[in-house]
Amino acid sequence: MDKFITIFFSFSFGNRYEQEKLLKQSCSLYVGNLSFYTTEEQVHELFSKSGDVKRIVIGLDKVKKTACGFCFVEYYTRADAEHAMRFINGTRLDDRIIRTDWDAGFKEGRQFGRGKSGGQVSDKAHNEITMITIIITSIFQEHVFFVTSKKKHN
Amino acid sequence: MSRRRHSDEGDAGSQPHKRRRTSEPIEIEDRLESLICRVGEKSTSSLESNLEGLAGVLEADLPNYKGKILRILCAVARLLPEKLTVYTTLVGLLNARNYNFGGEFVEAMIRQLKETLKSNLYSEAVYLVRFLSDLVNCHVIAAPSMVAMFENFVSVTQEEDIPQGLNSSSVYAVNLNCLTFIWKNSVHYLTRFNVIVTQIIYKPLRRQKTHVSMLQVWTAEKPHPQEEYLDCLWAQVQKLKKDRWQERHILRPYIAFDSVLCEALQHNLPPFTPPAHSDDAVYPMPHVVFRMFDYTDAPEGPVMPGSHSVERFVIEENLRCIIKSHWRERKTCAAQLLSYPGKNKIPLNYHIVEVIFGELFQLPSPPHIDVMYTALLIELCKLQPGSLPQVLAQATEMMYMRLDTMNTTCIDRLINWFSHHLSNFQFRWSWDDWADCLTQDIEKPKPKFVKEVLEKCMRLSYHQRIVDIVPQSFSALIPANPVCSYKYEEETECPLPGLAMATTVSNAIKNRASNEEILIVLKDVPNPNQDDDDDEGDGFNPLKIEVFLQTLLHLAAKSFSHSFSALAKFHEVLKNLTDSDEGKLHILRVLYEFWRNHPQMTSVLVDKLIRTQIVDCAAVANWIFSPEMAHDFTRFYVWEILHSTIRKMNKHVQKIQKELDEAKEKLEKQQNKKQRDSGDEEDMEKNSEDEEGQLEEQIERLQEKVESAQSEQKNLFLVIFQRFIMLLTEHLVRCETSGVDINTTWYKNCIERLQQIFLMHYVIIQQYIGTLENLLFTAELDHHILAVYQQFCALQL
Repeated sequence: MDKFITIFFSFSFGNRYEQEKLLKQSCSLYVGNLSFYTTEEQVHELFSKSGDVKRIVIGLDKVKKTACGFCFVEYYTRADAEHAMRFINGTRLDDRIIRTDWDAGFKEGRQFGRGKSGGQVSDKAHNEITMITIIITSIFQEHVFFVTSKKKHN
Repeated sequence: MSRRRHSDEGDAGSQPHKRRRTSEPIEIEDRLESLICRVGEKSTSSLESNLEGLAGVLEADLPNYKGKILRILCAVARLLPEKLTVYTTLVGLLNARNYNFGGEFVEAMIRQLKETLKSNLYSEAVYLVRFLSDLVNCHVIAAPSMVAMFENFVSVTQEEDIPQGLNSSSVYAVNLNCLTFIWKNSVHYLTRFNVIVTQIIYKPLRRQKTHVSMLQVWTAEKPHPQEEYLDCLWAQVQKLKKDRWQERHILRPYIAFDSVLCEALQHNLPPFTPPAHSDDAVYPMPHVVFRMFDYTDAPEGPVMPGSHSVERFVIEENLRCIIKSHWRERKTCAAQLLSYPGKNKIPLNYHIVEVIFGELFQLPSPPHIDVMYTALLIELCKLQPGSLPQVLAQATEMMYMRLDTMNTTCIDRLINWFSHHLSNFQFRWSWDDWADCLTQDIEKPKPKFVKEVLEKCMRLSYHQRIVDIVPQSFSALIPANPVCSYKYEEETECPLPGLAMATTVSNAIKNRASNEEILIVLKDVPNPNQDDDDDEGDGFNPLKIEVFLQTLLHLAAKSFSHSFSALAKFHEVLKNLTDSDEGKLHILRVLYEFWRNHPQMTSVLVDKLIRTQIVDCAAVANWIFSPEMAHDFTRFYVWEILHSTIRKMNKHVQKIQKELDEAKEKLEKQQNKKQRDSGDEEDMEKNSEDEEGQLEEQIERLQEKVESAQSEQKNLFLVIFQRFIMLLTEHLVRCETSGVDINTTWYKNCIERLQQIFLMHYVIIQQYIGTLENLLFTAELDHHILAVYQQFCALQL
């Protein structure tokens, strides 16, 4: 039980450090609030203004397999991605103000929406999920700390 | 240096028992930094009382934090030039309270000046000299010793045979200071100054100006001449001198403290000689002053200062400094620009727009990435929705009117900016105002500009949108609907050779055939070029390429990703088909034919073909200059492809060079380690020897790779220049023999594209000057073409 707790503890902690490290080195961006009709061509044209684009993956509704309002943009260099975060984030594409965020890196499967009906997770839902994750992680960490310290005192 | 917003001044004393002892001094240092950086910004109290208060705080902290305070003040002198007079006043007040501190500050500044000059940080050095000269006005430095420094700078320019760059930099440093910070009360200063100014008087004439035309945004002198920067500055100094050095624009907080400051003791500058020229000195690039507005353009409100007035110079300098400090954060940058002190006395929006376009159009390249300026202008429009958009529209209108004489590179940037800007504002524009372009030949600058803008707008939206936003009369300028052109589409009366084959290939691909299977299928394609002895059929077969690539591209036409996957999947087949140079050229031709209505798709596919090494950079260059592309030769997208190709080549060379350098470093480390560890067991020695051997092999391989890449890079540029020379010579000869004026629209475009190659890649091209002069740009060349080369050479300082 001890071992399990230690492993789980280091896993959840370790995962966060890994995640943050990946984000700081990442050349990939998540782009949200796209129109459902926004094409790869339009994304490419806009994001090419901050540097050469390596790859674009358009987000798809998991069920319908149609575009559902988000995509990933990967650059060859971090600097180009940073320029996009500075000068393209918060401007318009296809008449909508788009939002960019650092992404740890595209992995197969991540192009499918995780929203309830198969589409993009909404902003509010995104924040809620993040909140819940943080709460659960901290509760768990507290619990583990409590358990281990209790064991020490026994 | 961080410029953190400091919000917890009130909290500093709260919960002290929770803070560990060792963190306190650090917090105080951070607070000092914050206080110093923030002084001069918006505040409920007056600037004078803030300065007074801060001087008191700093004086009290001098015993414990002198070093830190000195460092911060030196840094703001160098990095926040737009707040210069605020900080010189602060230093003046400190000097009045603590003479020793004043002396130490001056010494620290001189040390910093020497360092910045040694590190080729010329603009920062200029800010430091400016700071020092303003310290004379604050009674920190004695005027005669400052004048002596200026005289040292001038003496540099008196020498014969100094490089243009050193000459210009020194003249700039002196001029700059003559100009801006003379306060009429410093009589001593003035008389010696007049002498210095007179001494420089002949120098600008000595400098050669061949390079100027290459850097001008407009070739016409009217309405605003594009003056070389020192010429303009010189004129401004002359005018200031004529006005008896009366300058009223700059905010001078030290005036309010004059009674306190003139009680202070002054310091003398240690003797300072500007460094002599060394071969690895990098002088700042010359530039041309950009002007697009004058007093007639801002109809209401305050008047715009004249082009040769000092005020104009100071405003532009300060706005440029603000952009330099804040460009990474567009919201802050916009806010700072709009809160320029003294904004009520000038038409600020016009100045801002002029400065921004001046930077965007700067040749060879803007100080910051192009898209930053678009984002900045959008922020400014958000903050001043009632006034800035109108100024911007006026500016756009003015630039449209002057397209005929605008440099092609600048037109490119204008196209990119305008289309991107429109896409953020629902493409709203009064196109009818530009109906005059419809009566002109479509190759002329104005209709061409509109056509290219619409093409870029379409890329950010879709074809029907463009049809909807422009009046019916503009239909000739609307871009083609970006659909593909599959030649094997239908059964016609005379079926094309290869039609049956295309169907076979198409079915094979749909049935998930492998690369080998496709190659087998393609073996049956007859070769229209075939020699009788070529039994194998492995030679260049244009029909094979057409059949395969047209079919493949057709199946993958749905999106970029589909096409990329297709190219990746059949990489082997494509490599096989493009083994020869002719093969590489033909694949580009087929691609162009298929996607001729979709230049964006063509660009991204050419990019992919290069990155996957199916074609090489030289093939792309040859393709662009081929007769088949003559029709599109003046289109923007073609040049985007060429410059992108050159950039890829350059990055490739850099990458391998970096790998080589890293391997060499690793070897060095290994060898050092071996020396230190020698005498250890035999095993370890043998292992390290093996490693070393491997590294040495790797270095040799990389060395070869670097040489080969550099040779490919040089070849690329030679091919490009050669093709330009051929094309231009042909045109010039044709015009001469038929007695026609050479200055056609096509010619202007072509010669400026040649200039563009030189300007955009000058660092690399400089390495090839010897070869260029011996092989290509020889004396026998037509003088029109040779002139471009000579202007380029004149750019180097």
